[in-house]
Amino acid sequence: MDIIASHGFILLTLACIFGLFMAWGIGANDVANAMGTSVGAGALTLKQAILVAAIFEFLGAYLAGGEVTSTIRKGIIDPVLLVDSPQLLVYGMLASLLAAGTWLAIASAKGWPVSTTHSIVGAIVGFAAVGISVDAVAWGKVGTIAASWVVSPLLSGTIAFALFISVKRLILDHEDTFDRAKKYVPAYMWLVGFMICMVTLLKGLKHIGVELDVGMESKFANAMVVSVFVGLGVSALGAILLRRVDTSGRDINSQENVEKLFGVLMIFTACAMAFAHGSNDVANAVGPLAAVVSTVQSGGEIGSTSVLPWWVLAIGGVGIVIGLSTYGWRVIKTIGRKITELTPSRGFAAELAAATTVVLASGTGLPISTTHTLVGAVLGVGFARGVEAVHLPTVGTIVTSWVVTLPAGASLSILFFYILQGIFG
Amino acid sequence: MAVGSAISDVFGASPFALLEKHMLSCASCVAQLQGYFEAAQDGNWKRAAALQGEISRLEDEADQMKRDVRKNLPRGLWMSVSRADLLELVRMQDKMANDTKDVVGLSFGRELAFPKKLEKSLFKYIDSVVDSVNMMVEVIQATRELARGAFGARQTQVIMTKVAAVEKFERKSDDIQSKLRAKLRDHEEKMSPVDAIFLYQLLTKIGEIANSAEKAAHRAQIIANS
Repeated sequence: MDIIASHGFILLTLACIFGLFMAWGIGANDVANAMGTSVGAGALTLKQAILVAAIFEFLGAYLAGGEVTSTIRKGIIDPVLLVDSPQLLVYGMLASLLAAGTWLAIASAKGWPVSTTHSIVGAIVGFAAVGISVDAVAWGKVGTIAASWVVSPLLSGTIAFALFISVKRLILDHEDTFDRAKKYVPAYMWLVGFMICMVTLLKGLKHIGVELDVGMESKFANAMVVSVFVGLGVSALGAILLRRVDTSGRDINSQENVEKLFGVLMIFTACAMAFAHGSNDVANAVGPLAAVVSTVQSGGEIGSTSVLPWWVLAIGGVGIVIGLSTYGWRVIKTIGRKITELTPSRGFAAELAAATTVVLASGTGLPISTTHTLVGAVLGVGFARGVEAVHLPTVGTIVTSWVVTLPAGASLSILFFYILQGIFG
Repeated sequence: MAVGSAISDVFGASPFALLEKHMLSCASCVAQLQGYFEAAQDGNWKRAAALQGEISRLEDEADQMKRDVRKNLPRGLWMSVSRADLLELVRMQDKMANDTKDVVGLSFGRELAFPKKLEKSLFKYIDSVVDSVNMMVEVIQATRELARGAFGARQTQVIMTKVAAVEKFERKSDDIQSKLRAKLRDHEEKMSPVDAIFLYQLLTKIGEIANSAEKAAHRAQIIANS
């Protein structure tokens, strides 16, 4: 207790710096995977992508990022063992942030496709199991998280497959492709609006203390009604944008014209993707920070149920936006130039599937990797024969790197944990 | 920091774009046959030499593109079509350019021209062969559309129609070839037996170009139906 009382301010400052660094890293690198597909498909220009990312990453983090943050903050470690030595939790969380940040920097320099989520979870499990005690880890929860890493790409792949098959059946396989696309694309837009709104209402608003009541019996039914209407609003907006698409060439049903309609849809899915990414990945930076903040502010009381101060999520959001504007835009540009194979009619299916999966996970409080989920979605579109060629060795590297990341993040955080313990006692 | 990313590296290059480039290059090589035989029939061997050089160059170019196609089809690529089908398709496409080079080589090496009486049919024959190859270009373009359209029934239908057109030109070439053979037989008495043998060979070789176009078209059909 004494340590926290005497060094509280320093520890808090360190946590803010490390948290901001981690959020910067996420914005500089991770966001690009989420936004690159839209830029590559030509649905968004680079500037638009950055604007969309900045706004919706922040909204996602702020409105729907609470559940995952709370998992990272107090779900992975069983706090019972730490009641007498709360400073260990503070050291551990600082070490985890630093470890994950360092590992991401190394991986980025080497060009390895490493997930921020896996780094931070590996780091937290590492310091807890070695630095404190094997029993300090909530293994049940960790098992669920690990399982979700397998399930999330599968789920998003399945959704993407279904979405793309539906596009084929409803639109592409017909003679009057253009009219059909104009008719059905707003339905997909509705889905985007409905899904985002649902998660925000069910899981997000309680963090900012707003309750919505339209007179239905349960919270779920309330959210349902509101989301249906928000979805309709989104698709109405989309329909207006679709009307403004100019067609070129003699054949109105040419693939070029039809892709333009899907390009409009992809603006919406890009927003959803940024929102989803913000809702899940911001927690990687904010969760450990929140743990430090709540422990220090409560004077060493572990597992307090105090609400997350609003500025903690805001630090995450701001860090991501800074990362995006200082470095991330370059990565988006490069990725956008490389991904030209994924035309809007496929890109939207992949993005919507990934965003849905990630947002679902955010609602459940499961930290998953957005990139892996998106790769799963791309493979799903591939199974529906929507992608001409997928480079399987890269997929293999991605799988390998997530296996390697866990021990790497863990060892680094154990190292930093002992260093911090040595400094502060 | 390395600006690489998991997401962008997941995508392999589209094999169809390269395949189309290769086919276009082969077709432009085959198309030189018309000019070459006009020069040869006129006895203008200087111009024929220039055209032979040009055909050689185009064949080289096609070879290079064939290698590009193969290089971009590593085993680890997971595609919407069979890798074996694509490799066979590019082989058949390339054979058209190779056969063209052989035909011209055979004719130019011996300064071999056809009897004047056969000229009209000969040009019709070559036109028909070139038509079959040009139609094959359209088949490949349709195959690319098919991949873009995610193998829809509509695009498959377009390919079937174009494949049928290639077959038609190939049959037409076969018909003209047998007529040419009959006519050549009437001239056998008046020419050196060695020349006659090589002229028959030339006719066969020219016909093989259309055969390759047809085989390539059938391979595209298999891809479309897969």
